[in-house]
This record gives sequence, structure tokens and C-alpha cells, in this order.
Amino acid sequence: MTSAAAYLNGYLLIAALLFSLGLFAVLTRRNAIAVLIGVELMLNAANLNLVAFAQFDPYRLGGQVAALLVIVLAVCEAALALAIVLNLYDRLQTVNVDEVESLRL
Amino acid sequence: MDYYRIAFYAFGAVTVLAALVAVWSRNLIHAGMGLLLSLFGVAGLYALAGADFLAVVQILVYVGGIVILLLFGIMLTQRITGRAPRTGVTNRLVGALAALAVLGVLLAALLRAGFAELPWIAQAGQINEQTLPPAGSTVERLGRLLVGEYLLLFEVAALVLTIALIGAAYMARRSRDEGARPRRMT
Repeated sequence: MTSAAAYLNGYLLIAALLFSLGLFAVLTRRNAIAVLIGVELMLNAANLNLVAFAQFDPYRLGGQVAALLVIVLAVCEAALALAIVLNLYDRLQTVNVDEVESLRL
Repeated sequence: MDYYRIAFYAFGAVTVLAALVAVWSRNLIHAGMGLLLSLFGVAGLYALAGADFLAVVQILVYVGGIVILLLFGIMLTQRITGRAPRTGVTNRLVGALAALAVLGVLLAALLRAGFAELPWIAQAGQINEQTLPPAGSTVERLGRLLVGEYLLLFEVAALVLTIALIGAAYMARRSRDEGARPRRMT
């Protein structure tokens, strides 16, 4: 714990790399599931930042509680997104996000 | 502390390299496996940052739940069997530029902010050197926080999770049995 501050920038650097990679996936992939993979990477980057800063608040642990909530919401998002993707495939026979152009099917 | 350094670099390298695979590979299965490995690396980083409970939750929920869910999604939405499920790519130049721009902004902010010199962080380091660091597991402290200070957040998260899962189960029903559900959701 003593040299945790020395590693803080390392955590933040890894998180920044993860976030950019996730953003790249979200922007460039056509398959909806590949887009979801990018979203998961971005959520993890945010969580990594929260946990890295929570090291310096060892008694109240606000960052870790926030990270737990983010994980719960990520589960909700993944389940709902997968349900929507399955519905899309059922109705349009495609899961490419650039081919889906109408909200009402 | 040297072991800490080795473990930190190892987990960091695994995380970033596997994320690269997850993002670059056009084969969806490879991308899913890259994501799985990357999430494992993040779990290791959590453990190194003293968040043992979160590391376990990360492996249970992300690696055991979300990645498997994504793989199910890949399986259920690929028409042609006997061929690797691949994803198309669009906007490659714009996407790369945007991602690099965000990375540049984040790195510039990181270099300029000097988080390690912030008073509360430097102070926390000193306190931990002088007095006892809260050794051991974070499980008890997190549990007390979740049913104490953060009780409202906990309950709201539980409610949101329930609603989302019921909604997902409703939406994911196959429309093969036409009688069970109207074809159009209006």
C-alpha cells in the first residue's frame, strides 16, 4: 500500500488505453455483438479508474461501491442488449447495426 | 514490493494486449475470447489495488456471465454454420481518429493533472505508512457500507436489475409461437 501512489498513473494509463480501444470497437464494428464488446471494455476502463482511486480511501471505499454498481448496470445492459439483438435477428435476419434503420419493425 | 511491480506489469500487459485482440480480430469468437482474457487481467489489477471482493465479482459476473452471454448471442445470430462468425468493419479511418483523439486527450490530462500529488492521495499514502493499513479483506467493510451508507443505491440497483432481467426475458422470447405474443410490438 505504501507505494500505491507510484502505480496510480499506471492504472490510469491502462484504463485510458482500454477506453480508447473500446471506443474504436464501438465506432468501427458492424456486428452488434462486437459493438457490445467495445462497450464492455469502456465500462471496465471506468471501473478501473474508480478502483484505482479507491485505494486512497481505504475506510469508506466509495470507489469500490460505485464500481460494484457499474458492474450491476453492465449486467442489465448486456442482458437487455442481447435480448434486443436476438429480436433484431428474428425480424430482420441481420445484426449489423448500420443496416437497422427503423425503430418500429 | 518487487513482486507487486512484476504482477502489475503482467496483468496490465495481459489486459491491454487481450483488449487489442478483442478489438482488432474480425472473428467474433476470437474477439469474445480476447474480451474474456482482458477482463481476467482487469480482475488481477483489482486484486492488486486491494479490491479483492471486486476481483471475485469481476470474474464471476463478467467472465462467467457477460462473456458467456455474448458468446450465446454470437451462436444464436449467425445464419451460416461451418463458417467462422465474422464482423464487418465500417468508418475505420474516422473511428481510429476519434479513438486516438480521445486517447490523446486522456493522456494529456493524465500527465498534466499529477494525481499522485493531490493532497488527499499523498496524505493517504502517509497515513498508511504511519498507521496500520486496513489489512485483510474488504468484504466486511463493503457489506457494511452496502446495507448502511449506500442502502438506497443498493436497493435501487436491485430493483433495476430485476426490471432489466424481466424485460430481457420477455423480449428474448422467440416469436416462433405466434400465438404467444403479437408479432408487432406496438
